Amino acid sequence: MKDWQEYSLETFERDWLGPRRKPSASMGSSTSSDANALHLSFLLALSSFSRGTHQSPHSFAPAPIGVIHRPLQNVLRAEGRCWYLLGRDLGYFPDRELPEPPADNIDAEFFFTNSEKVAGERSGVLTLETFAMWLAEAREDLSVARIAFLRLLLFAPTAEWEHELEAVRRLASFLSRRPWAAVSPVTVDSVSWALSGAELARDAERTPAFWRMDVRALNEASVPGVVSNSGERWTALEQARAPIKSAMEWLVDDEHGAFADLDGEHKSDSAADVTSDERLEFGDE
Amino acid sequence: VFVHGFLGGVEKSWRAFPTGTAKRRWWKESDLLFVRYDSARDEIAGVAFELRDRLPDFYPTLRTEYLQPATLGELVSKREYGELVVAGHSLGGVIVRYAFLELAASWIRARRNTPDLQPPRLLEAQTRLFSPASAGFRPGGKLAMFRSSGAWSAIEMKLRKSTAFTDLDPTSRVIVNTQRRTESLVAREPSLTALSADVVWARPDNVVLAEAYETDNSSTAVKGKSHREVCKPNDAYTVPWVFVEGEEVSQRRQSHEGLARIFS
Repeated sequence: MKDWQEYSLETFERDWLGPRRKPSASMGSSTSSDANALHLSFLLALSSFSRGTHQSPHSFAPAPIGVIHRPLQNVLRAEGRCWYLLGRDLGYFPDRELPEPPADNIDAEFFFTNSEKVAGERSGVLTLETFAMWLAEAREDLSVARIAFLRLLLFAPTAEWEHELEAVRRLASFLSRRPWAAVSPVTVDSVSWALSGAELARDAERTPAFWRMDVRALNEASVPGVVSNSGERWTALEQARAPIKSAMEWLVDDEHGAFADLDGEHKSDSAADVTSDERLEFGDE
Repeated sequence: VFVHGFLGGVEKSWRAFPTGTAKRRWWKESDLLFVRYDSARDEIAGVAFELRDRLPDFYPTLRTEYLQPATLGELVSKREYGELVVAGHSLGGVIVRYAFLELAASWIRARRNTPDLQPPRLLEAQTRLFSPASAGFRPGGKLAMFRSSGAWSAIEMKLRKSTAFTDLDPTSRVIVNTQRRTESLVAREPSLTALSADVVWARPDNVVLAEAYETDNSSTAVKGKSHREVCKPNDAYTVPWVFVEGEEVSQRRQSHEGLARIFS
């Protein structure tokens, strides 16, 4: 067994299963994408924001999986197990069992069968470097806003979902009428799950994390607690947030008065009716 | 050292670079440091100051507590790096320039009291920038960014009134003063190599203004690569690797790669 395999596993356990070993503060560790090379690779996480006076619940760093909503945590653990088994087959991880037992009632095989590319790559095409990059990207994707989105869309009771969606609708309605108005950071934080948190990559690789890009995928698996109408929820979210996009594009476009947008697809009449000196603060009521 | 740009991430922006370690000698002999920050929330100056203050942990000598396993730490800590290359893309280019500018300014201030004070080793760095936003957004650039990057992340940036939107207007104080102060410092202290960048632009670049500083070492453009693609190497587009290594990115190389693509 090689040192770097042990180190890969240690990093993986810390990132996916929780900070059970002493973390190296915000100073990152080797990504191990260089596992069989002679050089080292580090991640240095900087944030002037975190030292500032404004505290936000949405850290830019991936959230510890160990502290999130239990049913979603189970899914992420099952996904993690898929990553681990794949990495072990490749020689990225040492050949031994994970200390963490399989997630409750979730078959890790779902994550293999749901990721066609992985199935293909298992036959010998996948390299250590590619695997390491996919793994790191999957971890990087799990921001606090993204986890909130996955939880609300896939697990939240209807009342909670509607409540959170209504906040998005209210902001959208406000910005449609007053795109220039300032929106408080607290308000943006409260709907971040529906903005950056709900960014689905169109060209995502079909890795074990692919289910996060396909809002209906978990309905095909027997995952406890998943709502049956995640597709309808996604459609409702798309409709609710669309006016926010129109308003922001209109505003950005308008800042460059001489820049003509020949597409003409997003200048809404309601936005155009508002005078530019209007400055309202939304969300501090 | 790699510093990503707007809405970038360590993986999204630089994921292809480490694969160079398997193919190219220069990369096999290099250690790679990827810097992560939140471009939607963090201020340019704040990240730049952090970068300035944290890089000495890595250069010229690596602190052993960042290394595992321990044996590796012992092995590596006995070495001092031979060179430092700092690469930035887009907004990351502004952060890199600002960090080195402030480092140089701090040294000059300190030298008033200690005339023999040597410049910090970090200022020996070679600075390589991919389509830096150091001249700000071009007209329509913000809109192009909205449409080329993750749209909802960009919208959130706009809602937050992120400094990426406010400080990167071509006439903003950050843009104007960073250029003016850097050019002035290079004129006075030409030995501070980190202040003079080598720049590769996307062509066409519909996000940022393609204007280098008067004091930069070189400035060239890569035809057919967008703002987002310009820093992402692959087997058919080796310019980013070659550029970071320090080789000149010639039109000949680009033509050669273009022909290789056609015949493949």
